[in-house]
Amino acid sequence: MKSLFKIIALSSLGCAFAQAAESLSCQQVAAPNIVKLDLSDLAKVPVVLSANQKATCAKQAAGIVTVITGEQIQNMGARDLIDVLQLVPGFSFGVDVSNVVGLGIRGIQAHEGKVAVFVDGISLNEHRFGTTQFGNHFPLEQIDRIEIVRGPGSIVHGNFAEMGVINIISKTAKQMDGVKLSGNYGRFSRGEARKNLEWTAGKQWGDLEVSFSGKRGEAHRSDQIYQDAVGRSFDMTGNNELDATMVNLGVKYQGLNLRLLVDQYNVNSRDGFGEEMSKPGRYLVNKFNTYAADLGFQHHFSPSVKLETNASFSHQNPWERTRKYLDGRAALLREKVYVDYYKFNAKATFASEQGNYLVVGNSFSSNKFDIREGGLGETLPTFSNYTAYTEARYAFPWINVLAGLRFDAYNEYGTNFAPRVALTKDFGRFHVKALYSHAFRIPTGGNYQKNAEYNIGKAPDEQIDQVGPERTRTVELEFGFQPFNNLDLTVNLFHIQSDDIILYQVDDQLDDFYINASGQNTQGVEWGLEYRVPRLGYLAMDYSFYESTRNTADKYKILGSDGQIHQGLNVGFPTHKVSLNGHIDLTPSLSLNQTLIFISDRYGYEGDSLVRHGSSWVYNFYWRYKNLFTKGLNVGLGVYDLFNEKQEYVQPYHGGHPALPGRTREVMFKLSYQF
Amino acid sequence: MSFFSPYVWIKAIAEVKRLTLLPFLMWPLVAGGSLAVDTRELTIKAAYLFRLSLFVDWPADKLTPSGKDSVRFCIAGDRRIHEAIKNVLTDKSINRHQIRIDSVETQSDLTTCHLLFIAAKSTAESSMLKAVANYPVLTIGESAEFYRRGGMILLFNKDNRMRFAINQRAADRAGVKLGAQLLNLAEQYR
Repeated sequence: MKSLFKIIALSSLGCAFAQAAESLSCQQVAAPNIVKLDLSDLAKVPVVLSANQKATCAKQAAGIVTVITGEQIQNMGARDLIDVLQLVPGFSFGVDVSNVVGLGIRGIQAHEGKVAVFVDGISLNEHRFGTTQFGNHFPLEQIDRIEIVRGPGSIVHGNFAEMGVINIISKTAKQMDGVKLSGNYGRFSRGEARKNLEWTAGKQWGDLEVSFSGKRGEAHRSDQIYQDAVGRSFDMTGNNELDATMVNLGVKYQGLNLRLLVDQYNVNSRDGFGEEMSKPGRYLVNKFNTYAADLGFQHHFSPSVKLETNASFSHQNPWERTRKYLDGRAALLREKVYVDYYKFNAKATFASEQGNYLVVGNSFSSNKFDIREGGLGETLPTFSNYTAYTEARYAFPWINVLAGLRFDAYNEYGTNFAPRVALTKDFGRFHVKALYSHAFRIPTGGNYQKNAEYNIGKAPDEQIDQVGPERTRTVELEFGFQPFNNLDLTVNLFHIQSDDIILYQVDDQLDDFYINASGQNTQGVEWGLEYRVPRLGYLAMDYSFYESTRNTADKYKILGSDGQIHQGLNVGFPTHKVSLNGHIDLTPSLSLNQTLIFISDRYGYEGDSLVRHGSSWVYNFYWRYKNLFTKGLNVGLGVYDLFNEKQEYVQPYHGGHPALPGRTREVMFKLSYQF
Repeated sequence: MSFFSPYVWIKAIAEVKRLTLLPFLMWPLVAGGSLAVDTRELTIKAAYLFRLSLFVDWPADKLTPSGKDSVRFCIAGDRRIHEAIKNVLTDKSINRHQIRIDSVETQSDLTTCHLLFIAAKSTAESSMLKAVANYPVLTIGESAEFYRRGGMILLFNKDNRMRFAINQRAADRAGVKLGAQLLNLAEQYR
């Protein structure tokens, strides 16, 4: 009893943020824990996990969850995270500016601060504008699984998780067990596509576990000709490079966890910012660097009481823009802003053997900005935030109820309450979820800086206000049915209502700033089928549909010369998306994996001209042979976009930037060796 | 572009009507069995090998109760099965006896094994069982044939759960003593 009071005292004083605890039933089906079970419990463990059981293990049972395992990623010969996330219902990619490609979810542009991306718990959104960049960026070799929440995650993860959460979890040192090197080389028909080296190394000495993984590589966005809205063009072959370095060190000793992460991602661009590409003879390099550390400690006071504390720090210089000249002139630094992010948190979890739990916690975080180049002399305030949080789950005989409440107090943006209620029930072969969540997107220092700069030199009546928070309410329903042990069917419906949406604007003088627009709503349906044949393979089919039901922002509307021509559609997003992924193990060594992704037509802009992009079918296949000649040597050969559909990255808002040409047919060879 | 360029050939393949891909993608639904192994299933099996062996008494000359010699788990199956089991049971021990995982074949000396796991579709099931028939080696297998031929413990899938059945006579014949709790938890196999 004393320890209980100790926890309550600690958690109320401490600095923590809580997230849903893992239920005990989940622990029983999670592979790493199976060996700990006694014989009577072993007999209860499902051999083939249903989609719902997988989702339960994602700590996010009260959400619409997709789990993609490292094995699936290796099976499909994914070139980068774009290949992996294309399989997720409702996810689509589009260009932002300057060869930077970001993610959209359920018809809403999520790239700028609305989808949280974590690697081993470290936030990899840049804290200046909230974006995460895709395209040969993240290493894949070390991934144990990716837990994806296709919906609001603010209540657990705070800012940047308004529309979704992508949590990349690396293998443990024990899983890595030695050193593995992996290299891939890909070519488009007109030039090099990618060349990457990845490594994983892990070793366990008793209670001490050390893992070290990473990537060094380069890729090209496309080998096509890019043409801007005024008719100028350049050949992307050998241009628009994506240069990635990531190093990830993990040290674990009993309850203590240390994670150090270095991410250096450089995006070269000649496609420019809006309707016009870079001037001839020069190009732009955008750097996105993150240096992050996370120190965590968890202590079990008893089997049912756990305290977790964390201290996180990251130092970033995102969107560091340097102009480079082809004639050898010295490079010109255009913009450089450092962001230091600190977060301290602790949470206490009280769990019962039945899987009921109560989580309480609070946290403190701050973002400190240092404008080194490209600002107009103004300084930015330090943005800080205090969070208190509680969540409880109770299993009634007829329904499981989860209720949570998050309270945030921002020094610049006031207070915010975000509740969440989830009703879930698993009837064995049938499960149902009903979810209602509030989520939010708090403006970033980058938003603040743009508006502060915009006001410099303007008369008081011409000045604009600082942008305020955006808030979202989401209702989701999910029904799951498992007619056979190896067949899973899932259908979910969603309705999203976003108000006061933060919107990027450019005026006639090409000065940019942010406003709050009234809002937008989307709704839709997603269904998935997963069929597994043990010892043979699997087939996953997913379909997603969305429609826009409210849109007050012209930037997201499809506007022709006669006004809005397609009310149910937002710029850049396909109404329908189908993905199929089939894997077959032909022998213990040889496997074939095939992917087919269909997206329906999309609309985008070239300057002010509306352009329709037709539907496309992207088909990839990947052959892999394991233990070739010697144990541990694996080779893979993949052909991607066999039909050469050249799916473009359409800008998911009216920014004038023509669709960025996508990857054409690519042949990739991969070689890996586990020492 | 050269006739020998892979792109010429890939382009030719791409001319094939897209719909022909569907049966291609649906392969896993219709194809026959293969030798591939599910990692999760193997983890469960490895856990069973470990937990079952905790309730086994080997004769003292085979495993000294107070000694620190290792317990030898012999795995007859392909490399992936061996590796997966090894990965799960690394650092595990039975009453201070460290578990050692060895991959074995027909010609291996099987009589020094404490536990012999014969994976499904192992080609030499019959000869392996014969080789250890009169030795105190706990045999665990996966096929009805294994059970019929005198294997001691059968692992089988029932309702998407892994269960086990015990051939008590085979264990007695070989001098392997199975704990009462094991006998209580075992299921009938027909």
